[in-house]
Amino acid sequence: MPSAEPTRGTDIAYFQRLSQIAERGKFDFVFFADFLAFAPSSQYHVRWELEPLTLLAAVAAVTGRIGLVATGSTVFTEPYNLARAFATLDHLSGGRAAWNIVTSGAPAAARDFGHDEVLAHHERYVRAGEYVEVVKQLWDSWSSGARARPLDHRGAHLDVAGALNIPRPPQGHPVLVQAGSSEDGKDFASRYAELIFTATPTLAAGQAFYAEIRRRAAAAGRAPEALKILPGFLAVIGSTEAEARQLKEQLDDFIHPEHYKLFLSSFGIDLSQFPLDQPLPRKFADISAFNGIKSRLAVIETIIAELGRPVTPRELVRRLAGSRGHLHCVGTPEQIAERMAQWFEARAADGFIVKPSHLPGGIENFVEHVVPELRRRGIYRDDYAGTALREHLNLATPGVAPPTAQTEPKNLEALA
Amino acid sequence: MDTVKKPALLNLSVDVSRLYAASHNDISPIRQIGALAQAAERAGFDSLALHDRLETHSHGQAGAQFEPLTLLGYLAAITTRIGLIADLSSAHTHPYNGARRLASLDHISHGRAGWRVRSTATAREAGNFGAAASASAADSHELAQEFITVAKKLWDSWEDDARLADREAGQYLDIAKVHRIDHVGRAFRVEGPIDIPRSPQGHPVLAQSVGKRDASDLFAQDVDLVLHHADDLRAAQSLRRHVTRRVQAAGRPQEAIRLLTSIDATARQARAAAAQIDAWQAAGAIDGADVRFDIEGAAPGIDPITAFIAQFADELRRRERLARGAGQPATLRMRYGVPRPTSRYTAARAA
Repeated sequence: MPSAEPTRGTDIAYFQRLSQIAERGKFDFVFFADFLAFAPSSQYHVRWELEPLTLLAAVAAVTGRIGLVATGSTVFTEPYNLARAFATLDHLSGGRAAWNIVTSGAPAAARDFGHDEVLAHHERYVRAGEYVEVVKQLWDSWSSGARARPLDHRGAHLDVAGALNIPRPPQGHPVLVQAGSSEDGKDFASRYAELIFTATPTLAAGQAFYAEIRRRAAAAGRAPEALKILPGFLAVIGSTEAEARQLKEQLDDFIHPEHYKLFLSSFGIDLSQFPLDQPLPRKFADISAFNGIKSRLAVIETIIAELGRPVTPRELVRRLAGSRGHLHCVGTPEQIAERMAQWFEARAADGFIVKPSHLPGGIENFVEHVVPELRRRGIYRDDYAGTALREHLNLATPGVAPPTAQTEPKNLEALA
Repeated sequence: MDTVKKPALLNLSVDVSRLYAASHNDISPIRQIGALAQAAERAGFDSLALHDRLETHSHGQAGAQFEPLTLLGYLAAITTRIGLIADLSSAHTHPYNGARRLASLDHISHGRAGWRVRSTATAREAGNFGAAASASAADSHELAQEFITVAKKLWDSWEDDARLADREAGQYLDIAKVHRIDHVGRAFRVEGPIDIPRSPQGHPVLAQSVGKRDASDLFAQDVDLVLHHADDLRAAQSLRRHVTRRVQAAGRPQEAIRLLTSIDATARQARAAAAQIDAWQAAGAIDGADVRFDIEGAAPGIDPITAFIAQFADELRRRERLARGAGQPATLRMRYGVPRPTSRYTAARAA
């Protein structure tokens, strides 16, 4: 892409600039995806190349309102260290931090931490549940006006004795984000997540996912407003529809042939065994035996089924490369805003993760041209009402868990 | 005879929890730390080191111990010249995570990142990580050495020119210049490569607080910056000899390492302390000072610190031990005058 800057993956000024553009557009948050491990596909496809917590601290210094979502692994990070780092980001940003909880299903990361293979899918989620409870207790362990209260946690996966050495973050807890769509993933999201990222390429899929999560959350005793469901949305914007289509073609043309084979490897899916221009079998992996990222495989099979005809790896990757299995919309700002409004009103989304077609132009165009259209439809803010991410998202501040019998009595913080 | 004095190298060591413990309600500890970093930069300090611990304060008034690498990411954005050194526990961090964060900090700060390896941990700290009790000193040391080794292999795993950014061919990387490290050791098995391009300094500066008078705990193969305490000039000279011997035995030149002696800024007068540094440096015993505000009983707030460092730096300037201007933009390695390592994979190719 001629205007893109491929070496900017480590340029902090670039991240800061993108974040400031999004903040100008009154976005709730920015999110730079992190995969922890090196992927050979990055030969052909630049990824973000900075560890997110360190990076977002530098973004926090030059922004004032926009939320900051960082990925943290429940397998490859110690909970004490993770709790400290997120608490610190929340303090230094004035309450804008969020934790994208990942259970680390990609095999390459495991081998960087001395594991021969990833934990079995279900076990990852059991561990993650315990991990999240421990981290929340750590954030609560030093609440204002009281001495730090040790956890003395001894669980199936984790032992953590002490209290955190950082006081309770401004938001109480950084906002919890999660993105798995497998059975375990949906169960986990319904119980813990406040923001749920998902990849639902069609309205029907979006509505089904939305309804199911709401049902599960209600069954877990959670109020509807306690979680927000956000599908990814690739926006390819043109001043005319034809111009937008041309842009999409241009972007697809940049996909390097070798990239096709490697593209899905970061999700644990091996396409290299299939010839590039031969139709793929309908079910090319057995999901139940698949230990990588199940939800992404399911999305791919949904797309193939939806197209109603066999697809070649080349066609599949062209379809996915920009959107990675997310909803995408190619058109004018009005068409894009209309599509968003449609999903919002059809209860397929509470909002979206906007994936610009290219950077920085894509996000600049979105802020300049799509945001006003969303405002005209009355579905988007004119300005931030408050400072903290929870305020932007209308999420309550969690109360502190009641003390156990062994500790001093203290005041419970009221729910906002 | 060359009578131009070598400038004193200056580090400011801060225990952030000391600031919090005495912070005024209306000035957040984060703002205070930011102001302190900027003051140290204005005074001409080469680096700021954040002391850390992984447990709550063991007594009385508890201070918030913000996580140093996240805090330094923030400080990197509001400073332009001063080095940023983080304490990192080798006992309770995985080197893959540590290497990623430090490489990121080095990119974000344009080559100003450093770390001080904390090899030992208290039993209370160990308890926060599911460890029954802290390891022996010897085991902790061995683990720390392996941690350093793994981090450095990861920092070398991308050669400096691995990124091509060849838009015509659509190729971003020369994959032949990104290497698995395949480390198999007693404590760690790490396949690599890291997912971050080689950073401006190659390796962030490695600092170590030497505990022993004969420097027998020195990571002689790896350390760039030695922070020590010496009661008098003779002790400082003795440490210099010990460190030099160990470093040379590890096949490195004496100039590869810098020695900074501690100045307890809570207990000294700034001008007298500057006089000491001037004299000890003239005697060849040290390369500069580690001005410490990470000591028990520090006065509240940052005003005493900023006053001290300004007076201290001014006195050194008066004695021609510190440059007057801000100088050229530089990495921390350049400021300390220690060499930038080539990736071992590049060196192997050239061999």
